[in-house]
Amino acid sequence: MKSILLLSLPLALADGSQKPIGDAAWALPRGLNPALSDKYRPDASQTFSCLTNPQISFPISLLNDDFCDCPDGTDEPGTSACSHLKASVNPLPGFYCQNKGHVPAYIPFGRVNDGVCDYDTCCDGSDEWMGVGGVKCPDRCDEIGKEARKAAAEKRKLFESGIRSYNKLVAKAVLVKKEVEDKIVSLTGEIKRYEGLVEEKKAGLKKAEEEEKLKLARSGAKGEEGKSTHQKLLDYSKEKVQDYQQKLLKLVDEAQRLREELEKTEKILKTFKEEYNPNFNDEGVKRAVNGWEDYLASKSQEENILSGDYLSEVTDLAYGHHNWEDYEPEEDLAQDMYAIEAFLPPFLRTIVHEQLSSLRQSLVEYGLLAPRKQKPSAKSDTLSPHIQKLTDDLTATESSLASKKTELANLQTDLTKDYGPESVFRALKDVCTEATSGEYTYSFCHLGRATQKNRDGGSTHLGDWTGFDRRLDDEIEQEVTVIKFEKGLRCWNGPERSAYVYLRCSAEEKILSVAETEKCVYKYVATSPAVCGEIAAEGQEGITMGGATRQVN
Amino acid sequence: MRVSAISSPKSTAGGLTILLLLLDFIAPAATVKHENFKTCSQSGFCRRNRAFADHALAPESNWVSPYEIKEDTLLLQNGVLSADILKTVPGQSEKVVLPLNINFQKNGAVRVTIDELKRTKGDIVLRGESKARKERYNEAERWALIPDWDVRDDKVVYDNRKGQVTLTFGPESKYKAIVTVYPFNIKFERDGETHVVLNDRGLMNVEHWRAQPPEPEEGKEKSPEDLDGGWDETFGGNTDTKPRGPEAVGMDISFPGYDHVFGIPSHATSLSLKTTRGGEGAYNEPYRLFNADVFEYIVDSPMTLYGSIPFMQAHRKGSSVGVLWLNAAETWVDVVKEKKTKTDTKTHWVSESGQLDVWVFLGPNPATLYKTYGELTGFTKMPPTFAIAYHQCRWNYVSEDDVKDVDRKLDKHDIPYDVIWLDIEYSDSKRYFLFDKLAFKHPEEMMKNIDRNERKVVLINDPHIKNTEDYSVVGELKSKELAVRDKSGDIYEGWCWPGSSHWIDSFNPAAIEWWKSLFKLDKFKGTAKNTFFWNDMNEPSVFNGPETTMPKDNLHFGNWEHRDLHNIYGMTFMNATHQALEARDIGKGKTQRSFVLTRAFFAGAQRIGAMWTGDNEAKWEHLQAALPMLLSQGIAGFPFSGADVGGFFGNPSNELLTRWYQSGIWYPFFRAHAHIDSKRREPYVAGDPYTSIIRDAIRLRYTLLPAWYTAFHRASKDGMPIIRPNFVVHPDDEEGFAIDDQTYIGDTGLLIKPVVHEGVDKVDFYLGDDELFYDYWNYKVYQGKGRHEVSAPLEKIPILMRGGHIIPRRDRHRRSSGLMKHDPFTLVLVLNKRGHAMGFLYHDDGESFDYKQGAYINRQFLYNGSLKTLSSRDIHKDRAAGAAYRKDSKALQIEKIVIIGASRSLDTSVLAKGKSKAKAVLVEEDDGKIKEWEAGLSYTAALDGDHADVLVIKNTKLKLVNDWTVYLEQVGRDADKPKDEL
Repeated sequence: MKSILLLSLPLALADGSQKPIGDAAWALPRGLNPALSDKYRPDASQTFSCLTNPQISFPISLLNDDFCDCPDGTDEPGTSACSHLKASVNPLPGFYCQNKGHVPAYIPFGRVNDGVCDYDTCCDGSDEWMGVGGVKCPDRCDEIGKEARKAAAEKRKLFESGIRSYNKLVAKAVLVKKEVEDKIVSLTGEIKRYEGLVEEKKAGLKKAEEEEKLKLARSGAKGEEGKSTHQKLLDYSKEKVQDYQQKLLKLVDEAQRLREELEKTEKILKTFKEEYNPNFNDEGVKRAVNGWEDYLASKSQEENILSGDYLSEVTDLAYGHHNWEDYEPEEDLAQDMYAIEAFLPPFLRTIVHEQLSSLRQSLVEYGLLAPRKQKPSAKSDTLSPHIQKLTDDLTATESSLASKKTELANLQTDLTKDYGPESVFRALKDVCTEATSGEYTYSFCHLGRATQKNRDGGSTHLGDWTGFDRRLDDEIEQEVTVIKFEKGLRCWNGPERSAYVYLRCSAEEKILSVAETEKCVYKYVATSPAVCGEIAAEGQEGITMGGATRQVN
Repeated sequence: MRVSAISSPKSTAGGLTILLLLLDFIAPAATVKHENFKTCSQSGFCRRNRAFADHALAPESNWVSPYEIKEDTLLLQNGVLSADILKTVPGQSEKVVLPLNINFQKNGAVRVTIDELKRTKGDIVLRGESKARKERYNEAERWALIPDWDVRDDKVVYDNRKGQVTLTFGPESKYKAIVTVYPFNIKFERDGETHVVLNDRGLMNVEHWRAQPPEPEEGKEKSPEDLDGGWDETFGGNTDTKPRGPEAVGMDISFPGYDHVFGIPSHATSLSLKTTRGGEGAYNEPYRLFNADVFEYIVDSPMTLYGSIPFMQAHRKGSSVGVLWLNAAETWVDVVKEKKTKTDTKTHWVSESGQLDVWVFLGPNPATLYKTYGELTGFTKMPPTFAIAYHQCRWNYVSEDDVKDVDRKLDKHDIPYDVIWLDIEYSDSKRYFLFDKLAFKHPEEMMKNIDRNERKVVLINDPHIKNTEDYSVVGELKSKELAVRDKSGDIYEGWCWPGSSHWIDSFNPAAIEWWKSLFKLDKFKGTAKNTFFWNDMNEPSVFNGPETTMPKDNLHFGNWEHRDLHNIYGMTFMNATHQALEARDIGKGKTQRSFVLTRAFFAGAQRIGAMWTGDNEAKWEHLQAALPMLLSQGIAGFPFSGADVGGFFGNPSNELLTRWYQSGIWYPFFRAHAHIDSKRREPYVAGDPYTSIIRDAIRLRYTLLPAWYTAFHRASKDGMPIIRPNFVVHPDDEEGFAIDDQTYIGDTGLLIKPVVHEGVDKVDFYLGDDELFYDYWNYKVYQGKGRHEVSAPLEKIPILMRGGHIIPRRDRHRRSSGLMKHDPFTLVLVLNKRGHAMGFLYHDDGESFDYKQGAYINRQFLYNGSLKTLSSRDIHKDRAAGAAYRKDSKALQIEKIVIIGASRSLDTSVLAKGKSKAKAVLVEEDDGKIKEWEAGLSYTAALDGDHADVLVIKNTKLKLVNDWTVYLEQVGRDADKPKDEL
């Protein structure tokens, strides 16, 4: 869209070999940019030299005679005669439409005198000067120029308000960042304090535990170990039965869940078999259908054990209540060997306890002794409420400390993350935009997730925010900021979905279009004030090259 | 860009059905599903007839064909010899009566038809409750042949002696048919030599009707009438009930002295057909003709494909002959060659049902053979100009925004195109005739935008019609009873893209009329005069049918079984669409030429539209396979053919895509297409250098459109293929008969050898004669019959210009062919060894039917190297009828005349030194007045001894429509300046 090519041309060709002569009757050749008129003024011999092949010259009458004489095509700035030449050969970018009342533009030579009024480039209709096939292209530059100026003004307005919004966003982003930094400072302080607290509480707990042990040693332990064998057996049975009941319940639940899943899967396969597109196409599909049929044929016809009487039986077992009181024994004073511990001094007690435990473990391993009850509350039973409180307190403090540390780390990482120029996207965190395109509604949330929703309410994860990129937005021919959303739901037989949001500057957060450019790759075009800063420096537009880009080959 | 308005189901995490649809597209190993298609041994009648042949040909069998003409029934009347053939059935005293007709045509073609008397009388009992017709199918000619094909030879001379009837017939009475009474056979002679023999090896086999014998009692043998595979036959879970039992017809056809046979498309195989009975480099299976939707077909195989033309050409030095096996049922063809001093090619044809109906053509050369064949089956339809330009297709451009984007980008990259295509996703849930309401909200506007640059839109429209509530098309199909029926006479239901579907019975004239009504611009909302159509899946493809098509016991109009006419179905559907388009009022009562692309076809489809080779793959071997397949289409009279550029399935590398474009611009039908799962690959996607190289290739196609159009015109007049293999252009060059990797374009002398291998930067041209050949790009000269290496880096398409031709071009680069219509022409004179050249240019409005009333221009250009004159001569058939169009076309000029190898005619040594002032004097007759003027010249000397020099006559201002002569004069005095102005 820039006029670089055009502007560089006269310089490149300015060798001064041709001396323009004053000729009042001379008119600018058709289709020529007036900036190049000096190159085309006839010399004394009334010849014209091809611009890039000055050794080749022709009588001036062959200029714009609708026949291509010059190898570089420069003898035909106003016709399509040299349109067959590659654009890289011809230094003229195209037919120059003056477009008085609007902005001048070049149209490719192939579009000169082809019977189409290319008003989007040549609003003055000068490209169809021959009127081939009776075509008439009256000058519409007044009207088109007016519209264009209006549109440009609107665009500028939008752009300006975009910049204002951008500045606000940046200000907000600064605040958000400041908040983070403040938070870091306060967190760092708190962490220090919590570290002190943890140490303090650890010491307190240790002290309390030792006191407790002493107390225990003095009063003589009377707990588990003091029970009679009968009582132990009873306790053991009680717990075992409860344990088995719980496990059975879990199994029943699990079986039911599996059965539901199986039913669901079978339903899928049943529908699959009924509805599949029995396309010749795919052997895999046929194999799946055959496999399903085989499965159905061989499926056990026996009654499902999770139904009917059997189930109620199992349920009874699981929920059955046993009257344990009936089996309560007389107080048995027999003590088990553990009781001895109580009479030992603390340092010996630990050693004996360890020895006993390992002995017990060996016995259990060799099947000589039943394993010890796994009572979750066992510990609390043995711990005094005081110790318990201290322990809980310590744990809570430690966990607070850990979470604060994590939070700090996150905040520190956050500070180093790329949030775009001037960290502007910080201000848009969790701002979401959505738009309907065809049968889907697409959305994306800044620094969050992109989603595709269908009309039934189903939603597909297109990807999570992974950062920024710069890419060409080919519609406006500008490189723009692209937000990347990646690692979305994997496509059937394809890649993980991803979405790329191409941003254009505007005050409003809005999705303009969504397209699936490749299988499972979505291209959003959206507007956001967040990108208004980066293109604020765009200069004045040059002479446009209508319709086609110049091919350099 | 795939705008997600109707985002492909794959990428939507939708429900189960969507998931299921996807399953169709998974191709773990990309190869044809062999198990879905029958081999000969799995097809009862093929198995039987191959066994029959093996038995007959076994030396110990002393086989004598059991067919004999009943001599007292012989009668020659009105160019037709009729007689009864009696078939002796072992163990039966009663002989089977088979009425024989031999029809002699004025153009020398002969038709041999054998029917079955009992069946013609309806004197048979059908199995089951079948409602099928009892006759053998005798309506193939109604579709394959033109309506007034029957032009009899009234000068047939009959001579009957010693059990041999000799008939002398044909042009100048040069042909002879010698009919032997017992065992029955026919020898066809021309110039005292036998060229074609029917029942030469006694493999004729007409399976007469018989009641199904009861199961043999225990220990007893099966009745000989109980033929293997003759009754209910099951394949892939589908059972064919065969109400008429075994009814195949078979015949062997020998071509004595012929080493090469061509034709019987469509197969992904070499142009010169390989043998099929095993051995090195041979196939084990016969060529099969049974239109089928073959998923991911393999190359180098005799397997059946989407379309069938049972026309075969046999060629040898000095002679070309052919046969048309006019049968629309499943057909298999075995080919063997016997080498004695000369090679004989012997073929064996078997069809499942129908009459035995063989046409014999005695040539004598390729050109007359194609003409004679075309006089029966019709010549290529003259297409609208856009149809031979570049087509941009993809499954799918999914929304009008998508269409707009592709259109804009092609323009932006200055790549011309004429037609953008919309595959099935344009439709509202696969209900054709309805645009998807969300993705294509403003189809009229879209058509209008595309029309701005004279471009067109092609929509797909398939023969399966969605079986759903709330769809008026299927409602009408049912209420009007225009659908194909199943064996019990109920409407047939099968599965295709839309799921449950019904199929239009396009054999039914009422169905055609109804179909026509659906395409009216006010009926098919959103279409416009620049909307044209594509008929896919018309084999017909039925996803849950046997071999992906319809059950053979389905019933069509007139209660013909699907079995009888399967191979014609696709053509009848295409015909219905074609008729609908030509009947469409495009405003003010005007009509225009249709354009219909078909996937399924049969002999005669050339009268209707274009075909393509179906769902190929983005692989080099598929690029290699395309040219022989298209050359074969030309042989079989249906040259308007193409292969998907880029390869349908998969993703081509940039190199493959580029080479495919460079190859594809030489396909008569030039379309890029891609599968929905493939990546976008429009020419601008790859980026440079590929995009630029592809652009140059497409531009070359546009530049040469006048030559292409002229070649189409010739095909439409005398059946000469549009792209021609070596043997057609050099029919006496034996070494070149099998060459199928290079092609000539029409009469232009352009010889193309596309690069079809990866990483290659040169090609090996084969030159069929000693004429001069010039490199199209640098005028390097190649001469001498045989192989010549020509460089072919990626950016270069290997093209040679054969001396002696004049190539018409239009050099100006435009966005579409429609926008070239006012442009001047360039004539490229390629001088031959003696300095002469000749060429043709046919031109008309490219869209209307006015050419049929004479509104066309047809010129012959002749350059006489001795006289140094180029003249343009009117070869219009009816000059007066062309007057109005000539007047309208006065603005068309010849801008440039390029003479390549100028020194072959002119003394260029003086030109080169600038000592001579040459001039071109142009004399034109314009409106009865003689005008004379001079034009400038520009001379480029030869680069060196290996290259040719070039003289250009500049800015001639000659009118295309006028008679004119250009005199090149050399004035022997020093040149005035400037030097470049000679």
